[in-house]
Amino acid sequence: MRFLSSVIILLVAMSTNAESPPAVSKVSEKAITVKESVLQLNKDLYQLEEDLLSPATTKASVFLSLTYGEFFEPYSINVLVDDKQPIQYLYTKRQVDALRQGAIQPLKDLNLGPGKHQIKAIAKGVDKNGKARELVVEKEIEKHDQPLYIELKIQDKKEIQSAELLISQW
Amino acid sequence: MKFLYFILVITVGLSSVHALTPEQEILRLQKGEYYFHYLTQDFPAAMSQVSRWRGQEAMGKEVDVMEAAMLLSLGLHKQAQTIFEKIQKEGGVSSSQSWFYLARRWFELGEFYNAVYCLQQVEFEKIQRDYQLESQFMMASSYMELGEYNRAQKIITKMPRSSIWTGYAQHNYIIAMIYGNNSGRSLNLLIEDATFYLPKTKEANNLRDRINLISGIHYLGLGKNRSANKYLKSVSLQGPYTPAALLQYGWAKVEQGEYEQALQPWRELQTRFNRFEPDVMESMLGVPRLFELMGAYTQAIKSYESIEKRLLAMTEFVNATQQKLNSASWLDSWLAVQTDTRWGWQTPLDSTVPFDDVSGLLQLLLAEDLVVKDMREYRDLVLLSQYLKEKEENLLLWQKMVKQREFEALTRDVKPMFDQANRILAAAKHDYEELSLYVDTSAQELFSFPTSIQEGSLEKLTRSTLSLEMLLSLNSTTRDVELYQQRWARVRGILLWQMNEEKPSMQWQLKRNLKNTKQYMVQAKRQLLETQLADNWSDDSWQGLDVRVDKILQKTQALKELADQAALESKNNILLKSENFIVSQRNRINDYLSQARLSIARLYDEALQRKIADGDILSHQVGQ
Repeated sequence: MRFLSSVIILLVAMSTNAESPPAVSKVSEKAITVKESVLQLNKDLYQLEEDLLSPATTKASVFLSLTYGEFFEPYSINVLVDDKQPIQYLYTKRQVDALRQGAIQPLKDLNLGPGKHQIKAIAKGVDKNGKARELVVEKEIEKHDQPLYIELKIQDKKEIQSAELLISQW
Repeated sequence: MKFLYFILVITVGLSSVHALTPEQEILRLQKGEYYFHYLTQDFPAAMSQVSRWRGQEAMGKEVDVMEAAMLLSLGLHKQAQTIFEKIQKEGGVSSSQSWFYLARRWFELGEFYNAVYCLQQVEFEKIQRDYQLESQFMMASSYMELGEYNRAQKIITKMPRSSIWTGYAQHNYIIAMIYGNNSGRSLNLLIEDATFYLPKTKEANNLRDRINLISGIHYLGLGKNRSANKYLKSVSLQGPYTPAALLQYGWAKVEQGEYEQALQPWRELQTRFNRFEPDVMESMLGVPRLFELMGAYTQAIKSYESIEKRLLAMTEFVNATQQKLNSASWLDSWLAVQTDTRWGWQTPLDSTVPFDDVSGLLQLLLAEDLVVKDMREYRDLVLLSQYLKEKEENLLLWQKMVKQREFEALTRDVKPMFDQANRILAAAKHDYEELSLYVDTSAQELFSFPTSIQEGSLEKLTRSTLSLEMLLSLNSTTRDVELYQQRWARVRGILLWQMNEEKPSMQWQLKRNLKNTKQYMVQAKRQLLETQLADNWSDDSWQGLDVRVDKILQKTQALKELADQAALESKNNILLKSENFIVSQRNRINDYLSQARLSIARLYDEALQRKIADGDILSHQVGQ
């Protein structure tokens, strides 16, 4: 990216006459139209797919966030709801970087019936010294007729130079 | 530690996470989700997220900034520009991170005025350390492009010297100085400063080579050959700028009259690099020209003749390879090596085409930005077509699934099951109440909790006592039974006493069982209610979805046709460009071939003239 920027600058700097940007070809115009339409379609598809998979009444979305991530770097997460519906995820470096920059990962949309459910999460990763660590949390959550948002939060505890895994629901 | 500097953008404007309302928390999760898709470069998913926020008051203007950045990432510049103009006109608060990403896109597109505007909205302390440096680089470079060199210089001075971003900024500043910036700073010092502090990484090495090459060419143009030599010699032999540096170094030596030393870099160039590279071709003709300058005319002729043969072989190769171009196999093999399955402008692509005869010949074409852009576009369209095909198949399956759900929902008769469950629950409740009442009244009754054995024993004892009484009344016994009667009565009394002793424990046991039963009954009742609720909710899984699936399926099918057509046109466009390139390559070879042949003729002619002048050949013999 940086090199591209430099190339642009070099090209701009080396050109003797100010040139107007090249006209968009017909093929490109068509490609742009297709892209725009696909984006629009995508929106409908995502919505439809969500409604098909998890109607609002039973929908429970599980998210994962990482606050700072100085004392814990996640390698994987494993979530169990009522000892079933396992969610397993392995992280790439780019994803961990994104989480550290404040992004929140949508882990999965689940279908939960009304009432109380037991959720258990295990985050495996390494601590600040590269030593393997496991964070575990278990909590009871309750599902009503509105979509449920569950956040698994890996949070640094600076006072004990460690991290903890928390569960919140809205 | 650097992350400590980073403040979560998603909480900007909110004093404390704990103070958020549930709605704000959900919004925070959704914004975080958008950033996750964006930062992991899943642009379609991020775009879909943004589209859903449209019209939500809580998102404010931030959604505009996010959408503009997304559109730019997907290569939809015109649409992004429209949104951006709206942002500039209407203003509004957005997070620093969003502004940063938008600035980055504008900068990459060379829209420096827009980039500066976005960077001015960024609060530096609210973005990551690395992004702060990148922002400074973009700001400085944009100012240079806008002709404000002093501002740019001030920014560069504040940047840490060891950062690669400082190196890029200085590189751009050097170019600006070469092409008209009269800032009064010493170019030499600036070059030294820019190359010395760069980190020891591959990227930094390439940047160092680039700065040295640009400087060398600049001084060569000014006729300062010693300075040019110094910088050109500093270019590494393993980088992307090596061919150009070797060629220019040779010419610098020629300019200084060091002909023999000019041969070495050109020989290196011809043995190590692709013969279709313009630098290599130029050096091919440079070698015999050197021989001429050195007065070695025979060697010069032989060299030209050798080059003529090589150029002819290259022409034949070009002609033979052109036929393979029409099959577009090179384009397909390039698509096949791409591991990333996402589309969009920012998708990291492996730009190296698998090496074969065609890609070797097309090397220069494939280095052109516009061609790479076309290839990206073609790839995007192919991916979109595949994506749409996949979605079409999925939608057809969903269509069946929704029908199945509808059928099952309409044929499922759950009422008898619920009625039966209710009846069981009511009976259990009735039994429970009876037992509870019995426990409550048991305190007054002595004989309230007998076991079946105790009940049997008591009955036997009572019967025996009655029999003895009867015997006594008959008074016909041969023996006195009164003693037996008293004994039986005592045994009965002991039994009743034992039962009375055990009563509290039995009472407690029963109460505990009743309590458990009550809990089970509550659980069963809640389960029944939840099941009834789930039954009510189940209609959501099919009602109205068939119409939506049908509608989207039709849209998908129509769009797939359009994408297929566009992909075909895009492919033909690339093939046309590659054919044109081959034609231009052939013309270039022909030019060099003509020059070589002309030089051969000229050298023979000059040799002839010299012989005539020396009297070795009589002028009338020449005609024969």
